[in-house]
Amino acid sequence: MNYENDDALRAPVWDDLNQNENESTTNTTASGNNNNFNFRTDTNLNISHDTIDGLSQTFANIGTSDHFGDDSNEAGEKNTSEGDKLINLLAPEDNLLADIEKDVVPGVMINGGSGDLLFGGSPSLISPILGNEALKLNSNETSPSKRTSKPHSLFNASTRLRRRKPNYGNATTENGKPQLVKDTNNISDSDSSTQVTSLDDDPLGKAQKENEFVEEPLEYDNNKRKDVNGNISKASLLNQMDEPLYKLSPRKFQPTSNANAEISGNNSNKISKKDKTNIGTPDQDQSDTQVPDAVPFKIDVTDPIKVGDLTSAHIEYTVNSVSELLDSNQSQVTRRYTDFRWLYRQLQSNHWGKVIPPPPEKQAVGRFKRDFIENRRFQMETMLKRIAHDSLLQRDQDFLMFLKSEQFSNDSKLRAYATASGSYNDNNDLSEVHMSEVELLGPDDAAIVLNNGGIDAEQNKGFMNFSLTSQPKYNEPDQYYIQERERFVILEEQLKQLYRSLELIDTERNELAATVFEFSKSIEVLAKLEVTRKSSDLLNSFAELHNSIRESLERNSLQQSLTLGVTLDEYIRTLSSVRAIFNQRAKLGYFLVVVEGDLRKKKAQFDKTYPDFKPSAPIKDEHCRTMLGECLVLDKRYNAIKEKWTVIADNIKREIKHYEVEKIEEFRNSMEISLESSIESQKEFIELWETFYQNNL
Amino acid sequence: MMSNVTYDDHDPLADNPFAEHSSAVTEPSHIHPPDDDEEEEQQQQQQQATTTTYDVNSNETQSYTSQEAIPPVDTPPVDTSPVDTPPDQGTERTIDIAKLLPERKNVGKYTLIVKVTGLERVGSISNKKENPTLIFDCSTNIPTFRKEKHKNLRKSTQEFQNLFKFLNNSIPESFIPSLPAPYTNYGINNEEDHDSTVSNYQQWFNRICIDPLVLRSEELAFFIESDYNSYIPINKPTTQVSGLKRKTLKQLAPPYDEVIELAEFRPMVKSLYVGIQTVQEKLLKASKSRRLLVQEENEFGQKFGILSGNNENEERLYKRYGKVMTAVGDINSIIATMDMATLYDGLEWIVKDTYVVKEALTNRHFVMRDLVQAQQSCKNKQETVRKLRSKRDTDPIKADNALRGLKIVTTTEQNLTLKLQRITGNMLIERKQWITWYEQWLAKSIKSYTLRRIEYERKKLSLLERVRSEVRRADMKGGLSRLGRHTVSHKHDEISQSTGGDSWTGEVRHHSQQEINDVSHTEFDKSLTIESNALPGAKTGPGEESSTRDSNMLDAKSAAHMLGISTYNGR
Repeated sequence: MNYENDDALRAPVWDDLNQNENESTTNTTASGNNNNFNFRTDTNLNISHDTIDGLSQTFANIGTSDHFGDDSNEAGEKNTSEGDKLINLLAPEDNLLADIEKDVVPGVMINGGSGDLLFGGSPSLISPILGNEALKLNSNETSPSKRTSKPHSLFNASTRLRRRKPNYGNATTENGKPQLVKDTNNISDSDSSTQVTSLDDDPLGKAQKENEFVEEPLEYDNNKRKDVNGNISKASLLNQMDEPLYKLSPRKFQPTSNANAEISGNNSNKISKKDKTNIGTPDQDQSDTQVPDAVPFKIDVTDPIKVGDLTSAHIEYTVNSVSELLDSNQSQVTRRYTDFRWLYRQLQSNHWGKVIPPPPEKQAVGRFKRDFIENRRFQMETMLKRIAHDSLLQRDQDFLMFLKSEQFSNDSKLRAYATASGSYNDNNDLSEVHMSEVELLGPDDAAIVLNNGGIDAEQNKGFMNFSLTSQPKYNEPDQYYIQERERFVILEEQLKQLYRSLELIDTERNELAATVFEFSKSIEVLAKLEVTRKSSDLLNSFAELHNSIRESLERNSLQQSLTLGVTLDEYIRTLSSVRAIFNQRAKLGYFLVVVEGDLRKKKAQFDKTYPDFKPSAPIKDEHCRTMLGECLVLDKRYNAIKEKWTVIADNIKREIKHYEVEKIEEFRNSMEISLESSIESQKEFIELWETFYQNNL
Repeated sequence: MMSNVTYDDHDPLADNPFAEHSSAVTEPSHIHPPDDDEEEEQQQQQQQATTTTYDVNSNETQSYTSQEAIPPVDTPPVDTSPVDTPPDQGTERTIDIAKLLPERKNVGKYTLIVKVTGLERVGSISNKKENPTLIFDCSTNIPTFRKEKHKNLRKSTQEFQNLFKFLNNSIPESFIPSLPAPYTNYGINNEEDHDSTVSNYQQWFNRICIDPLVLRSEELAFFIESDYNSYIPINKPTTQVSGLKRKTLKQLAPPYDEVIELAEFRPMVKSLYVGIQTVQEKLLKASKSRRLLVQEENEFGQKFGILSGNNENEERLYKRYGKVMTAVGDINSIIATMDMATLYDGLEWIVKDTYVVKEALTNRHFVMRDLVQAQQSCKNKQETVRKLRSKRDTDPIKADNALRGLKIVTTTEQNLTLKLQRITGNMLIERKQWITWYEQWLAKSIKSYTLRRIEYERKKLSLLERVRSEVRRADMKGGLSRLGRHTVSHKHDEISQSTGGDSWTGEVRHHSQQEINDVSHTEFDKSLTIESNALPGAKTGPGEESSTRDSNMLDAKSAAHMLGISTYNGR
């Protein structure tokens, strides 16, 4: 444990450097070789330090080369371990590992290449910016890279340790296959994969943060998570606990630590140390790591201005924000409504299972009316404030980008593209979700999937026929989610009705105020007749009384809509957001079913074609290899989805609990405020009447 | 002999008062310039002075033709002393009144005291609503009555209407008070409706009984002494200008009226009529929109009630809050009803009355028109007579005819003059009375409206305050009181209305215990309390707690206040 902490102490330094280095390597197209080289040196250095780490490091190396479809000669023997495991999953005997593995690689490689093409646009865009840093950092390369590898491997080792136990369960229950040797293989495999991802993950994450070049790190991030959790269903809780950490850490400390690293290393070191230790030992204090202190944010949305000509007219709002998390502590940008929706979608895609403060609903007509604009402004301000209030969301790179970016339309598109979040194909319904394949499967696999038209499209790919078989249906196994979902749907419906009711009350109250006004006017007319002095005085003050009542009614109505109305409106919208996370799980579950079906079919096909296939024997048949490879890919995919699916489940549970408490409290508060205001206005009524009575009757 | 001639010739005219004048309507010159009128006035006076002998006759005939209502016994010998040409019309009128309205000489001479004791609604639903039976006692010293005292008289409102119709037609001098509505907006068959209908009829009787002209109408005695549900006017009411003719005449500009008060009174009453109707309309609208609001409030309360919460406590809170909201809505609906029952119904009577007054004033205009016409024809006849006189050889038959004709028109003219003077004189008196009544009734309506409103607004407040503590308790942190409003979180301060006055005002208002109890108990307590009792562990609302606590507590101070004059008690 000690050495871990030590490493963690040093973390920020190498972190910064390493990330840049990695970036530069990716940008200087010779990524594969560079990586290999780096990692090799790393492993060499590490071996002296810690052999296990070194090994895992190399494993990681292999993993990457596999992913990228690089030439992985030296890592060949290690690669077997991964293939090993996969084959083991398919067929218990350990035999033809190397061959199979070799076969698998090319298949993946091709697709990986296309994936690169897919994402090719963005790196080239950013590379000029990075050029300088890459150069500068390359000079420092050796020492940081050495150090980088170590903490990561350490960390991985620890996760591996944690994972060991659940793995047994996993092997038997999840895959449902009797495996004898699988255990160790599984572990090593998962280790290698996690290490690969973790190695690439953090530094890249930071790099992307700094330069707003964002695609790959995220994927690695996900990859890692997926791998970790996919294999360990029972440890999923723990993993899921760390999960936000991985994301958080770069975001949280990035701006401060980066900025301060050179200037005053101490502070940032401390922070990042804590951060790192948390990563390294996630099983220490969960709550501590889970809820980092939220940095105070000051955000307001002001000055709605109508811009554009007839066809592209829209309202732009000025978003002012002040916070430490921003580079210059404050920023001012203009955003339009769709940008807020983009932010919502993007955050939703970035944080699965998290209730994202929702933007206002779309509205087609009357968009330029003053009341509406003011209302929307208020709603969007609330949304931003809520995001900024959340310790996790406030550090989201997309959120910060939203607050800072001067070329938002470009940046946002890039990000949406990079994360395949679908933020620009925004569904009107806030509860509809789009699950980013990139986040789900990692960039390369996602590329394959996307090329083939999505995960569900793939299910029919193998058949090439009109499969009239009904769409696989996902049945939620956990009753909790069904019930909760149901409950929220009901609650939402109830609240919607309540809101409608409140709106109607508001309308009617205003109507009443209007009629009272007319009434008072007609009394005034009567008073002007001056039948007698006394009666006309009486009528005059009677008219006056009604005028005051009307004012009071209008005030009351305004108060109600400002208290209960606003809260209800927001409550309802966040409920859509809540439903969205349930939808996320359902969608993952659906993917899971689809992939599982595919996997089963493939395996059946494989078994049928090669009934006497023995994993131990070398595979000669090309076709057999391809098929086996496909099986492996599907299996990996299955595991990845399964992991996400489990993670999101726990996320949801936690989030719901948190959400409920918060919302109910908020709701009750507004109930009380509205009650108090009713009481006060009631007193005012009585007072008006009493005064009238005493003065005139 | 003379009287015979007059009578004979006069009679057909009296029977058919419009036969002669119908043609006059078409004459455009029926309105005379003021100076013309002055002249006529002079002439009238001269004639009055010269033809004193007619006076008795004309007065008698008048009493037969138009004043059937006045019992002959009561008609005192008319003072026929000539009027010494008064320079000022006001004094002339006062003298006239004494002479023309002998009924008003001794106002307190005849009395009729009626006490309405009950109201019965029987029969079909429409009969129940439209035609309830009033039960009343009366005692009187009017000689037309057979008995001095009557007990438990029962009259249906239909009979009242018959009487009213008759009186209104037969006494053009008076503004006969219109009948109050047979039902109120409280809805029939409840105590409030009973009480207010009874009191409205009592008020009507009171107004009737101060009018000596009405008291002297034998029809009133017939009405009271007839059997239940059998009264129909025994005398034929004088027909008034009606139908198309009335409509047409009303289109024309009113004749010149030298009595400014009455000249101005009709337009004022008319705009009052219109104005109050507008107020009523607006009030109805407000009441309707309040009812709509109530619907939505009830809906809201229900929706709130079924709101599913996380746990039982939360749901109970919602349920209770929803219940209170519904109850508040219900109180609003009561307020809407009360608005209608107090102010709307009050104004309704004013509207009806203004209509009667307006039409009575219109009738006076018709009399004025008739008079103008009579004066015209009188002038013509006089001209003829003068021409005849100036001729040397006059045909005696012609002269006789002309003279007779002159006499006839002169008599008619004088009758009309007297009639108009009577009407004018009486109306001037009644105008004042009516305005006083209007003022009082309006104030009364507004007062009862205000009182009801205060009562129910207070109830609303106490309802709202009842749920307040529960809403606050739901928050561990103490709700709004954590914002530093410590005063609101104290338990006993939650009820802002107590015997000690209202917590929110510096003004001293002492409420009796009864009032506090009334206020803190609403019609909807049941729905609230049943719920809270049914749920185990649920506390009874603070309202109930406090009221039980309060009811045992009547200290000397509040007792003293109860006895003393306090604004709140006087209601």
